Amino acid sequence: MRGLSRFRQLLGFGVVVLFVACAFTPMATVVAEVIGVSRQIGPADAIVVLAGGGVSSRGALSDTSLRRAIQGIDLYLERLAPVVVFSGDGLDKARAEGRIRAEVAHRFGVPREGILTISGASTTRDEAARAKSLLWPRGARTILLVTDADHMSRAAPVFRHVGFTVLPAPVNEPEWDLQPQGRLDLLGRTMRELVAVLYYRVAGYL
Amino acid sequence: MSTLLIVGVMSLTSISFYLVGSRRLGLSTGDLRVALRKMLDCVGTIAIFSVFNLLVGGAVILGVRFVTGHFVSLYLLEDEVWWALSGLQGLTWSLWRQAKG
Repeated sequence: MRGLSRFRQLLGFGVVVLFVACAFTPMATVVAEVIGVSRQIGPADAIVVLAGGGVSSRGALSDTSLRRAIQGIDLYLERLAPVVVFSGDGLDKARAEGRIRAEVAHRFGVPREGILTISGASTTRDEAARAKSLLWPRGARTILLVTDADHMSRAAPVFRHVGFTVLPAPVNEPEWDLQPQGRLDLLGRTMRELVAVLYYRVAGYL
Repeated sequence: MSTLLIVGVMSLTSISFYLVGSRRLGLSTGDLRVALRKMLDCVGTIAIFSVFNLLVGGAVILGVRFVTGHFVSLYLLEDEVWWALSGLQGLTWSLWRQAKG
């Protein structure tokens, strides 16, 4: 019993030290940089923008979704690929994330023939499989993959696993001048992705 | 700026409360050491409850996926309410044990 008490105290001490180190030092950014995938922008056959955060019941895109969509639009307008694919579901067809992003892209100047959408994918692995069935018949093998920097460490290997050549175009890359709350959020997201990558490896998805 | 403000204010209030406790209320420094140990015990217990709750939550989600074939996202475990409620659970458990003596 005394040993258990000592263990809890040591664990508590570890948690406090980790919390302080994470909140008040750039540790979170260092960890995120180490496990992150570096940006590699270049010409591709398609731009694939992954779903992120979905759509509210009023049909508004989440911040994450909008940020990724704008990155995809920007890459398209730089003429890095002839087509941009938006992924994402919603409560119904009218409020599907992919469809709303497609509409945003069109308003920003992307022609309708340059826009494709993916729906019905629940996971990153599903998105990769659906992107493959959509793009491979069109001969698209090299893609610019757009997702958040932390998610990229899992998404890029998953898309490579199904056969794509992936050029990572991460959004929201780790910054060095974060405030304590931002550092804790970053470490949380990085840890989540580490666990998710581990899960994908154990499940044989990578 | 934010870091400086947080560290500055926290240091100032910690010293103030230490002085109030030791000089006005007559609390001993030895008891402060015991209190710190109990606090770390609480934090450790909260960490254990948090991990346990997330593991059980993950198992339930994967179980529902496996049994019903219906997709339930593991992102449901991201809600900060998990941490808050696990904190309350862990704190209550820890204080319950300490009350026993």
